[in-house]
Amino acid sequence: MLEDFCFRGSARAPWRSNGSSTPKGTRHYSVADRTLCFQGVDELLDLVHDFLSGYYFTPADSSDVRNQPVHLIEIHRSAPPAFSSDNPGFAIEDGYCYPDQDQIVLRVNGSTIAVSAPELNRTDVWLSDTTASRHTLALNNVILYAVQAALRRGNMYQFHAAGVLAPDATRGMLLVGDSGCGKSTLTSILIRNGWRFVSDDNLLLRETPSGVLAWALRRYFTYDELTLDACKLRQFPDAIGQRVPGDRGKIRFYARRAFPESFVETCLPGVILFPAIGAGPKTRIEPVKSGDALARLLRQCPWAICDTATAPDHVRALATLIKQTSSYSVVTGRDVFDDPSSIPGLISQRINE
Amino acid sequence: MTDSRFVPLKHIVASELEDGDGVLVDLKTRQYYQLNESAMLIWSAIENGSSLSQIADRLTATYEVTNERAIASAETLFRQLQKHKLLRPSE
Repeated sequence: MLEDFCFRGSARAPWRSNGSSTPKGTRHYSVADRTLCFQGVDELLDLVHDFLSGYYFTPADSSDVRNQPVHLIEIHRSAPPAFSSDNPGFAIEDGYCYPDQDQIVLRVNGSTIAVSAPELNRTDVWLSDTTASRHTLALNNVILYAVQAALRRGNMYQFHAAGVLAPDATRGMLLVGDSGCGKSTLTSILIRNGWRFVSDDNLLLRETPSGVLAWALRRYFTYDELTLDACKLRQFPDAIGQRVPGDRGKIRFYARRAFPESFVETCLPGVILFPAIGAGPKTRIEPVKSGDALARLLRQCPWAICDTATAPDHVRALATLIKQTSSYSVVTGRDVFDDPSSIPGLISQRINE
Repeated sequence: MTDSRFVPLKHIVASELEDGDGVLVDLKTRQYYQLNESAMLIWSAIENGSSLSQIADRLTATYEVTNERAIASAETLFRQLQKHKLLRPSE
């Protein structure tokens, strides 16, 4: 509230140029063998650092990445240049996307992101200085869009899914679906029954010669109060973090603190589950045809269709993922709510038939 | 007519899956289309530059259908794919 008051009217954001020449800093971060280089003034790089600390991005020394391809994300304090495109663009969450050949321009929360053709390895971000654009949530959103686009140009695709492994399994299982379909709840039940985990909701997919791998991307899980109680997660107070900004009903849960031995950084998926919460007495697990499964993945990955420069490789990676996995729908019944510990056995039995 | 050929448009990304089904993604309209096994067989043949009669031969070799029925099915799919601007007649 106070911040809103202080910055109202013609006040300038702290990172706006005031005529003095503040030197630009550079920071490198690595995730899943991909390195991003952020360039900008220190205040902005601190914002980036705070945001990335919630994800599995590791600060890297520039000398460590000398022989690796690096994608530069430059964050500007100035107004963006004029972009001309014949494409009318289309709406995305919190903004608009304007594809132009191999480049895309995103207007997100008032700020501008220009993602260059893949071979240029460059993304430029011009942060707006309006009050709404300066809000932490808006800035985080802009950074997230820029980072995801940069990763796509390295053939790495953010994927809204949970990743788990059965106790003795060598291949992982992905739980794919919209928010509220039960991914996080199911993940916590499986972990409490001895399964290992990669993430509850946020993965990075990468196509390799041995198949598509899923990497952990976000460090924390998110639960509402009811699920924390139902899954008996409050007995791990050190793992319970702050409320999620922008989604106050959700609380961060650092599962690695509660189950340090159960975390795995990456897995080769062998099964995909599409969970849904049903009202019937018994849980139903049915095979899903591969064409339907790929269509469901495409619905979860709009950039596989919208980012024209990376779409062919992105679609191919999703198709490869479908080819290397068996897909099932899981509609949970009252039996699971009566006895949550029964679900791991149900899943293991059905997919091993 | 049986020598007619079509070509996929450049902005279409096709993915064939293990069971023969497939998905076409239109990068212009941001729409995707699911194809069943026989439709995907026809699409693959179109990509390889096959004529209508060659496609009908592949269909009759793969499925228990007459040549007339195979030609009719392929023509129906051509019309649908053209309607959605996924392919065009070869020049």
